[in-house]
Amino acid sequence: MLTAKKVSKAYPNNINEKTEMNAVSDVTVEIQDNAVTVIIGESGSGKSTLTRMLSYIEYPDSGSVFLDGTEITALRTPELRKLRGRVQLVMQDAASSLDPHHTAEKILAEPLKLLLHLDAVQRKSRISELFQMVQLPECLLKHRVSELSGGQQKRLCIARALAAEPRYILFDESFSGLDVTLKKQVLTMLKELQKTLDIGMLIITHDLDTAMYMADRIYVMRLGRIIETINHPRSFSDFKESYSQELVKAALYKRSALQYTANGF
Amino acid sequence: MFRKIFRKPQAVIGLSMMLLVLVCVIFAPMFAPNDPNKIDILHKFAEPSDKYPLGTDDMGRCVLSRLIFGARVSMSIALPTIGILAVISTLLATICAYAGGLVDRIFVIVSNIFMALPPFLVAMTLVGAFESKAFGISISIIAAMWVWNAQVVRTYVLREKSKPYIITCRMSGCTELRIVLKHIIPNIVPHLLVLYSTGFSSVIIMISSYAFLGLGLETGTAEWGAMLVNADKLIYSHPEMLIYPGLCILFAAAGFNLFGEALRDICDPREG
Amino acid sequence: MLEVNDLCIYTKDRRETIVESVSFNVGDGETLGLIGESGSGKSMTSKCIMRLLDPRCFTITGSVRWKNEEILSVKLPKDFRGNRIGMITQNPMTAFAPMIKLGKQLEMGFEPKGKASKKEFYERLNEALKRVNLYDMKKIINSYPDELSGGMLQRVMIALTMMKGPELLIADECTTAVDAASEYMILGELEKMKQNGMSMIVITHDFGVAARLCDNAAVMKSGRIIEYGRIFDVLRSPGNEYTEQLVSSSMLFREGVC
Repeated sequence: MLTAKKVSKAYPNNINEKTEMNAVSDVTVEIQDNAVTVIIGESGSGKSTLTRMLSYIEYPDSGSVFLDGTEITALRTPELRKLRGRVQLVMQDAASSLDPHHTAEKILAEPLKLLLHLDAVQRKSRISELFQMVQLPECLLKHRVSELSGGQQKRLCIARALAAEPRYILFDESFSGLDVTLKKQVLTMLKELQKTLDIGMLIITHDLDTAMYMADRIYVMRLGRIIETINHPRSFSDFKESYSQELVKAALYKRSALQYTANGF
Repeated sequence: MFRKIFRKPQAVIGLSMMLLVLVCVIFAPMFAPNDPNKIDILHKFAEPSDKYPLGTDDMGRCVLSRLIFGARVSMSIALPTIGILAVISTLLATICAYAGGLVDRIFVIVSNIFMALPPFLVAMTLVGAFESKAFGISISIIAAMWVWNAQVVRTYVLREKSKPYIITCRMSGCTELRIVLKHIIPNIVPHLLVLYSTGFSSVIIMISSYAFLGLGLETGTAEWGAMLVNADKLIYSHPEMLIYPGLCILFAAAGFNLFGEALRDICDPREG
Repeated sequence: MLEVNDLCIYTKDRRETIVESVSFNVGDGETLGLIGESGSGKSMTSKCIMRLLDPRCFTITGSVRWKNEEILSVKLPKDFRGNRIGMITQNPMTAFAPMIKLGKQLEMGFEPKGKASKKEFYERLNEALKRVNLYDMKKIINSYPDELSGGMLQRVMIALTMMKGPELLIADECTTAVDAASEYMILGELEKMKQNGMSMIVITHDFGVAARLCDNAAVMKSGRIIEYGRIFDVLRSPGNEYTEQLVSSSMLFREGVC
């Protein structure tokens, strides 16, 4: 289990104002292995900051993060480096999270070589497998990242995260801005993969539809705090807090129109 | 990549110009019709002829031969200078920018001090300290210019370092050294190419300017800058003596500039 | 009101087809949805209608008639864009200049001259901003674009567009880049405008948005309209597989289905 216990982090607010703003306040979340956890929140709710702390890119100001029992916030950089690969992060902007001059093949080869220590032959076959998993055509292997389309770059990011064979993958708003049909394909694929590969997933999103489709557990986050936790969400009426219900109202606005128009009820 | 170079007219022009200069440098003895230093007072200011394609100068030396050999002198100082300059600046800047913290702050303070000194002042101060004039010129240029180049490289490194893909690399298991060598440097190479190719033309011009300040090589050396100095008293009687070496300097500098910029566009068409 | 007939857009040398044989109508007070994914040509079509495509880069054939007058190849009157047809785009951040305060930028769009007309302008702006649920006009006009959230900026855009009083509004993926709460507010605004009689073209890839706002729908793929009709018909009996895919992707979660 990947847990954040009572973590807080503050950032200075504006260049003009010297006050600090709490990005994350006293948050406790559990990412279970073998399940999909979703954090729903608006922009500014602190979800990205939380994700960075969970993937040990940043240290919290207070509180701790535990990875399978080890307190990673207590570790120093050299020891942390040994744990790289257990947790992978897929960021929102695919284009800037990949080295633009590397080919797709090289991007995938890196974790295979450095984390899994595969030799060239093993790498080649594994890269083919990964490409198939994310439904990328093999002809793109030698293309540079800057030559790929947005959707292809996103899938490459996901493939890279999978290549490291992590225990946990965190998706930070990785699906917003994707074409809807592609989004459906990717999410369905991830659902499959999660079951077969036994990975714990954390999805950060503001889209309730995505959340309900994927989640085994939902955390609702607002202004740096967790305001509601829902285990095994089944329907929109599971949301009890008033803020959560606001979000539901927003989602239902479109949904009801679609259902009514499509089904007549 | 080489195909791309030939498709871009700017690159081809720049490359041709560069190659012409380099050919002169390497094959000077073959191309020059006469000995550049052979004095023949009786035939001074001769008209262009078969023997002297561009005529002779005030000491009866073949102008064309002097220009061709002049390329050799200029390049043989300029090339190693820019090479060492590039290596020092890049290394220093990359280490300081990447390490950050105290190391970087010291670098900033030191370079601020150096930047307060005008390059020519530094150059003039240093050049006299060396026995070999050529060596002196080279060292003084390096000492004067390293700080400006290093600052620019530092900015590039800092910019790359803050990009999200560096985080991704760390997650993929890269050590910091690997990140610098395989990710940061390859991504700033296009910018470095432009920096150093345009820097190269500055160096050529600087070397030529030394002669103007009287800090150049021994009088009478076949070198463009020296030829310019020599010709300044002939500006009304024989202006071509001024124009020829001037054009050569311009040609060499422009060639490197054009090629460098074209190369940058090829490597990184998105930027610029 | 707006009739598009057999519109084709090619690159200048006719090598690539961007949009082919697109025809649709927008009647008075009607809302048309142009639904498709990236690359379907929907944005290009709307830009073409607004005459925003550079004739040096594109070859355009077909006819676009605004109130029975051909507008494709004629010189447009100065107030055509903005006053007759208004447009809201996807990314509000790039619609504003980053280094100029919003108040000044908004003024630039209207050029009020003299103290009296400035006062009037700001009154109208206040009204418009209130209609999009932005009540702190002072804060907004003194902010730079990057100080406001995407959702707020989008609403400022809407307010601005409304102040010009267009007869047809083109909303090009205007909720794609904002979060759910802002989307809700913006869609609410658009619905209000629709109820007040505004004719609209809503460009989106989300059938949920289309179902909410549109009367008619045109589904676009690879530059062609593959389905066109009343929104009810398109949703209830999609004519082809792609439309079905789009509809099902717009609503992933089926209640009661695990």
